[in-house]
Amino acid sequence: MRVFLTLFRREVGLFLSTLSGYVILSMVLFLIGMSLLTVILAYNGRAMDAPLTEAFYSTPFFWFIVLLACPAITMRSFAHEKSTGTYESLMTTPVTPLQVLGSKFMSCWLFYGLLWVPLWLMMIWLGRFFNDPGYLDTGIIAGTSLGVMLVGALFLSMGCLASVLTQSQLIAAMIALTLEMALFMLSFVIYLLPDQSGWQAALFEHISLFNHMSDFVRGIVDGRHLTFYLCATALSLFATWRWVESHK
Amino acid sequence: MIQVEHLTKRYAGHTALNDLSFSVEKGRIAGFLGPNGAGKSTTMRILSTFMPATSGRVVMAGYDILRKPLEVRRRIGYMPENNPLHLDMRVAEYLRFRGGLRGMSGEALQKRTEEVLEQCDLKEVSKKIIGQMSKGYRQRVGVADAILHRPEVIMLDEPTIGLDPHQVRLFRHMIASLAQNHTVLLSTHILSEVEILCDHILILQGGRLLANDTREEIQKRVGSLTQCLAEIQAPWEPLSEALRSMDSVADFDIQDLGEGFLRCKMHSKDGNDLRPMLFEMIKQKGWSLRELTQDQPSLEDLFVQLTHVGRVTREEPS
Repeated sequence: MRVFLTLFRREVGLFLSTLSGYVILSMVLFLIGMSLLTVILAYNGRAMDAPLTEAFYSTPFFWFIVLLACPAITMRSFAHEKSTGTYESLMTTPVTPLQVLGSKFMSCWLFYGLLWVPLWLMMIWLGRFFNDPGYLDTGIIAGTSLGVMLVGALFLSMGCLASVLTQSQLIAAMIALTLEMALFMLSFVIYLLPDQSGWQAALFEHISLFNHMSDFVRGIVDGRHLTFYLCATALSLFATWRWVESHK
Repeated sequence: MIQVEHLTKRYAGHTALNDLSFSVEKGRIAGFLGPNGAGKSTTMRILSTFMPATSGRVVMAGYDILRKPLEVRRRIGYMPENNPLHLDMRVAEYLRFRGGLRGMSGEALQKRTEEVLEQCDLKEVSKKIIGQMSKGYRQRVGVADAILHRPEVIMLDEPTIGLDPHQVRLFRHMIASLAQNHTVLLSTHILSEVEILCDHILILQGGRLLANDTREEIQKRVGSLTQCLAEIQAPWEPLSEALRSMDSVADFDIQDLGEGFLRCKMHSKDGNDLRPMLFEMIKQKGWSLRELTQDQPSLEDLFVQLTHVGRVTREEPS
């Protein structure tokens, strides 16, 4: 555990002490600001029929943030260490591949979580102008947070897998973006199917990220969605772990 | 302390290491010598558990590297080629981080970091960012990291590469001092480094071990390359006969220089100086002598001879 914490502190410190961390933070902050502006302009003086988080989710900026930030966060995790050679000195100390992967993934996830803090602060500020507390209650905040963190975990685990495959951060980011975009694009397939009652529709509905998120932002936590994210993230992390283990 | 048996590493279509076997005793400084691409770094990487071998067995500090890699890692301090460091960290901060990875913590880690900073002459720069330091200082940080957890075996891959002559001298002094408490394995392609530092020399070429001897044995082998040169005014046959009858002469070659002078090149059987015996023989025969010299062969000569032979041997099958 001590070794894990040492690695974890180092990884988190890297995000907070390097320019790249602040570039990602600035980019996300800008997109959150843009989404907030869109929400205010769209609903100013009008009655809302959905929670505030859903209004935010309905802007295109949500997926921009998730799709762009995740590869940017994970691209350096393994690729940078491999290109500078510090991976060799790391893997010749008494650390296990699981500790290395765990610390890298958890630090990325923590940083990803920190990126969303400004959104919550803005939501709380905006919530003060609503008469009905139902627009932003605890259940909605918890559900949306869970959804955001689960989508993030899945995309970050894909990013870690991409980063472990190459020495180039750029290629790692490209692979991660491709994997994420592929999953994202699969979410559209459900709308293109002529038969909405067949097994194909059921399958694509099950893996539709839109479907999951539209539930989460309303504060609905569906066990099927949870299972999907946990299984897909675990699978991706397992593949990364096996790669680290076999390519020492 | 280090036992390597039949170590082989193959990549697709290329054999990097071919049936390497050697052992290094405790408290020795062993030097891997070989040209670029000889397999030195590959061997170091396998020994440090970073890379798996295709076949063979390696026991480091009593533990098999395949079965107990973590136990081996606890007992080795490894500085890889090009000394990769976290350039964004400060020296003391980096050492504390590396100590943490080896399970050290609290006051024990703080105390040991101070000791190592002192030992490697890094105290004054302990708060400096590694990326802003000179190559010499960075190499010292690499060594400080390698000895931080008091490992039984220290492995340094090309530790003096890129250093200026003054830094190289300081560095050699530092490595020599490490042998008091550790077994050191270093790889280099600089012959003088091995000659000065190491008491066990391993010469590697094209993934094969060409020599695996103690410094004394290597010095004997170098001595056998001693060549004595004499220009003697004497008839060919009697001179040839006289040289043949000398027990210490391993082989000789005679060349006619004209004006009655013959040039003789001789090798000693046991590395002894042939000149006194030769002078005595010429005096007895009543011949004239106009030159009598003996060259001082170096490890470089042995290295060139071995690596040349190695190359010829390998090329033969094709």
